[in-house]
Amino acid sequence: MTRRFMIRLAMIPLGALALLGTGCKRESAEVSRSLGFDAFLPVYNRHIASWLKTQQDATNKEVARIEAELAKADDTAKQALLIRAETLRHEQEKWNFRLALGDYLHIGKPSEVPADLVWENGMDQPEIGDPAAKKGGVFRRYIETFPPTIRPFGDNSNNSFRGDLYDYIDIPLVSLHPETMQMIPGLAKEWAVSKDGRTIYFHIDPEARYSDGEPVRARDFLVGVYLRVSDYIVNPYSKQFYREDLAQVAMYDDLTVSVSLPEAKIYAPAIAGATSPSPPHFYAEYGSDYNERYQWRFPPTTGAYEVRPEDIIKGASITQTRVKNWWAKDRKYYRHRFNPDKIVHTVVRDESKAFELFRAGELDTFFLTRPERWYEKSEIEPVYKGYIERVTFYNRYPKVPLGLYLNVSKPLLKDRNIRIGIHHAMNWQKVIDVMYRGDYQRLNCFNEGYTIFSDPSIKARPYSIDLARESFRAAGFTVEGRDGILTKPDGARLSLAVTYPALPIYDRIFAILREEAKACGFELRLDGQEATVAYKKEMQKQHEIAFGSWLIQPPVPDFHQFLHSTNAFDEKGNPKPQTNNTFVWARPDTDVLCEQVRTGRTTGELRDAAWKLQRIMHDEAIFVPGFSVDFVRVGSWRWVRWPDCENTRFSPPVVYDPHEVFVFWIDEEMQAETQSARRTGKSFPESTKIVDTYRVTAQPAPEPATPAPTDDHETP
Amino acid sequence: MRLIGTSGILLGGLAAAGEVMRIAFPTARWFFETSRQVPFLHTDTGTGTAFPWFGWFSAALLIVCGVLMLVRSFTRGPRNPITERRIKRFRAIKRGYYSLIILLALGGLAALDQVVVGKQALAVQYQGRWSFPAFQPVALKNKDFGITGESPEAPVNYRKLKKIFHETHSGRVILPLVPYDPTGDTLPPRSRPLVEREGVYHESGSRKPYFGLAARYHDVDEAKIHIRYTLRNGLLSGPADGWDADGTPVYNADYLDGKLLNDRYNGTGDKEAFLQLESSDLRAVKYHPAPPIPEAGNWLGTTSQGYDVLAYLYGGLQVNFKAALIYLPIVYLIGITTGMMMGYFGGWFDLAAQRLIEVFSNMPFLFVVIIFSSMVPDQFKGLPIILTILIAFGWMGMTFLMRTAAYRDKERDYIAAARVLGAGTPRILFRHLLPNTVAIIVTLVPFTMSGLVFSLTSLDYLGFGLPPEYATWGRLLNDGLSNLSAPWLVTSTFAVLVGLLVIITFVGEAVREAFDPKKFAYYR
Repeated sequence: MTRRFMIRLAMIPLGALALLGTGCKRESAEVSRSLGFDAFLPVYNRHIASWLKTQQDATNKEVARIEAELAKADDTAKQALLIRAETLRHEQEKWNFRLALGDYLHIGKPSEVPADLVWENGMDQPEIGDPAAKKGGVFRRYIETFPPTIRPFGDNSNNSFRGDLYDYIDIPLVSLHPETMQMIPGLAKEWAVSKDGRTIYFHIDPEARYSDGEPVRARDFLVGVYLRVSDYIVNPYSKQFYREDLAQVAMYDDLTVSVSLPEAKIYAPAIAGATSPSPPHFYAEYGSDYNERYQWRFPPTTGAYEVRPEDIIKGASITQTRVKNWWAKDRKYYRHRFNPDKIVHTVVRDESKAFELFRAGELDTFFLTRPERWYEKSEIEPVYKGYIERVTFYNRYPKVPLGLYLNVSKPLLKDRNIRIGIHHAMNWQKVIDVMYRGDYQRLNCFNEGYTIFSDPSIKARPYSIDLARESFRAAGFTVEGRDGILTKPDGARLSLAVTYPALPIYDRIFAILREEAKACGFELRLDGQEATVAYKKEMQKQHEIAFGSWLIQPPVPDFHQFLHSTNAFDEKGNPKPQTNNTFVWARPDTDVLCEQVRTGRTTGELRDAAWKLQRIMHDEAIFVPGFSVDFVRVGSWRWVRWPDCENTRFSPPVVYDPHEVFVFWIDEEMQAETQSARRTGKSFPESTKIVDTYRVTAQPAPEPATPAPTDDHETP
Repeated sequence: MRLIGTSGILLGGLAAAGEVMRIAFPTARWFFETSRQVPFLHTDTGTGTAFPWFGWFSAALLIVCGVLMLVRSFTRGPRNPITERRIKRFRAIKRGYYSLIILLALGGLAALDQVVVGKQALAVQYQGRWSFPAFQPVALKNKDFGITGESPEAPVNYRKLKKIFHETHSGRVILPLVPYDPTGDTLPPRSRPLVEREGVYHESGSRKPYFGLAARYHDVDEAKIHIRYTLRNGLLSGPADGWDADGTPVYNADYLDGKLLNDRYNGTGDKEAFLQLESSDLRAVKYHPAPPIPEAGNWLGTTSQGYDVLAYLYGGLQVNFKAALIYLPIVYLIGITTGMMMGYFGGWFDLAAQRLIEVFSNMPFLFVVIIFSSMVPDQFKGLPIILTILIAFGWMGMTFLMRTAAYRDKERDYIAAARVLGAGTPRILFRHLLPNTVAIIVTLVPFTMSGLVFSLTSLDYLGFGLPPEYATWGRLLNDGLSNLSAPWLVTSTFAVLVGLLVIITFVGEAVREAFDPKKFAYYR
């Protein structure tokens, strides 16, 4: 071990020499090339400082304006203005804090780290994975398209394959335990939160290495920011993220780094700890041609899998190889994970073809969540003979808010009675029974399933012709036309269009909803559009009702982007395009609550605000919950083993895809045994398992809370 | 001639009468219904009611045309001997003649509409009074038949009503032959009884032990499942799930070769009570697309949407006929007129029209359809728009044929004679030129119709056709191809589509042969 390390040490100067050698040759031919970090540092710090100043000035001006208005306003307007002023004061305070911090990318001295910090290391959580896991073997999966690049950032880097290459592999400073949702160490050995809760200090694990053997240094985190915000690449999203969501990234010595957030937050160490380091020696040729130069180069990683140049077969496959002597291989939360020696991703463009490959044993696992796959397509001989094992795994991932988003800026939808009527007129249960064989469940509310942050007492309004008609009657729709659709006495029809991506499955779902809505006297017009056209219409806020869902990362629910008034209307009072507030919802009290969810520092505070928001969304009936799935169904060849021990049953529960935590392993003996059984026709007992250890069981239904009618709060 | 005239009068008369007396006559109701549904075919009067001008207009048009035809059939002298001979010759070609009879029969069947296929009962006897829901424009509600258990405001489910009346002997329900609507009538998942022989379950009528899902139902018709099991070799083997009467999942169990391994219950109350709940015998669960289940009346099975395949095919047939009846006259009117004018006038008009046709025929048709379907607001989507596009691209085919015929004939003596006699251009074109070139047109008609059926089907197959509330064969074909494990979808659609196209082609061939002027030249 030590000897090998010595050899590695000896190799580093050699490698550096080689690099220098080539670099020198290039220099003579081209413009000089270097990382460029040192030159960038002061420039960027000045840029951020001046940006902060302009923001502060703008906010100050706005405050002055509001205060002037406040002096003249009458009582009703005062309420709204006061809330606005409160929000602005909050903003002001944020700018003041950030300006007081000094340089955005800060190189400080060890003495700057406060002495009275309380350091935590998160070692009290249960282990992840099964001690029985064996290392070795090859795991084979498929990807639908070959990634356009393997760079972690830059053009096209946000493709669907990056999760497998980086997001699930890289070890962040601090991450969340996928079962308990508590913080566990990664690159950081320990961390501490400052008194004001905004700055998080990390001690980097001294053993942390990149896959090429280089140690991870504090400066690498600053370099990581530089590489992503540099003008050499076009990446407005990253630029905005680092400018607005982080307040400072600082280093104090080789192994101490701190990240400051503009506002104190719950889970701050995990949020701040998501910042990743970039090895400076790898990016020595960083420049304006980064996109082309680094297109197919895999950067040294802190994670367990690297991609070797010879393993990229363009258009056909990418193979990941387990890093030899990975630094975290004996760390508590990582030792039973990342087991296969190699992971091969083969391009298979057609899903049904991929299934045939799985059936033939060319792919090791396959998702069988969709009912027709589970019930019909997987009624095959390898399953009967026990070669393929099937598992239904109940997870605890928050429920994706799939449903109908009602645009309250449209005339009919301004009326809460109509919105409630629509809730009762949508027969989602029939959709679940007919299209999903009763396997899926009715979603109950927006942001359901965030453990304590979701109000379990909210239940979706059931389909009911009587209740729907009653609500519509209350809204003035009293006359029934010849075609069974309700109208107002003045002839206005109860007819709204739902915009959705025109996939065959959605066409079918909406045909059912339309048919059942008609029995309630409500005409649901189907506006199925090509997916991008539908999305554009939604983003332009031209829809009446939109069908869709958002993926919100656990552990904390998000309401701000969907409900806050700044995302609802622009300066002229028109619905603001290109924001996720597709409800076009704006109300002072929800603004306050959204802020509280965003900046809550204790779980109690956050929970109260989140519950109130969910209750308001339910009472105001702006979101019609659709259906949800609380399980994944996986078919895997029997040599793919999944954990079955005290700590982990099948997979940790808070995962979207059980593959992403890498707790499975390949049993090569079983593989040989199964392959020979296939040749001889020998069979094993059929295995279809249900893992419901983590299932959130039906809670006893609480007393139905009396809805607090708030009709007077119509949106402007 | 007389027949067409009479049926025109009848149709128009029925449409108008139905509108006034509020009776929905089969097919005749369509004019006013379309007029109400399509925004640009009615005008708002401002008082909340719409004036269906299109309905009145079509009814009047039908009556006027019918009367004219009828009158002319009496006032006109004896029939043209050439026409007489052509008809005789057509009748002699048996294949084409019988195909025409089948085609007309199909047309008649399609015209019967809700009498044959539909979920509305033809007649209901309740409390000694008869009512005819299928012929009323407004749907009846549960409360009209004294059903209070469920929502009294809900539309009546006559299939269920029939069962209820059958059990309680409180009335009678007469349903159409196929008691399902082509679309908008999603059925609950189907099921079939299982038969137990020596402890092993078999599907009724099958010798092989059952493999697949089976369930006990709270309510078989509504497909409310109590406990659902997995069966292997006719034995309970594998996971089982249970739902309470409200549809909440409360029960899980595992079986192996008929023996219970373990079970879990997490609902309210006691597990034994849940298991003892009254429910049906074990039945094979047939989720959509379900195979043909004659005992439930799904003779050709169901689509993956949950519609009855037979009803859906019928709906598709109606759409095809409807489209043909609108499309053919318009396309021929435009095509013939333009073509004859091009040939007759010649010169700059001919040149300009030719260039216009070239521009049109070089436009990629599919792109235009795609662009249109994303531009058109959702209220306007439907048969009228698709037909408009098809017509815009469909009239060019015959213009060049007509142009050639007109070029050739305009130098003939009879045209010159007509001109000398002082006939105007329209009279020459339509009274002299057209009858002499009719052979060309008549032979084209069947092929245009089969082309129309084909293009409607292919547009729907590609997903740019009619909205989902229309039954279309293209969508069914698509559904079948993505569910090859449900062969009843593809086979029945394919058989019907090919059958119709073959029949039309046979008719077309026979017509072409009957109108062939060269026939005597060759044989005599």
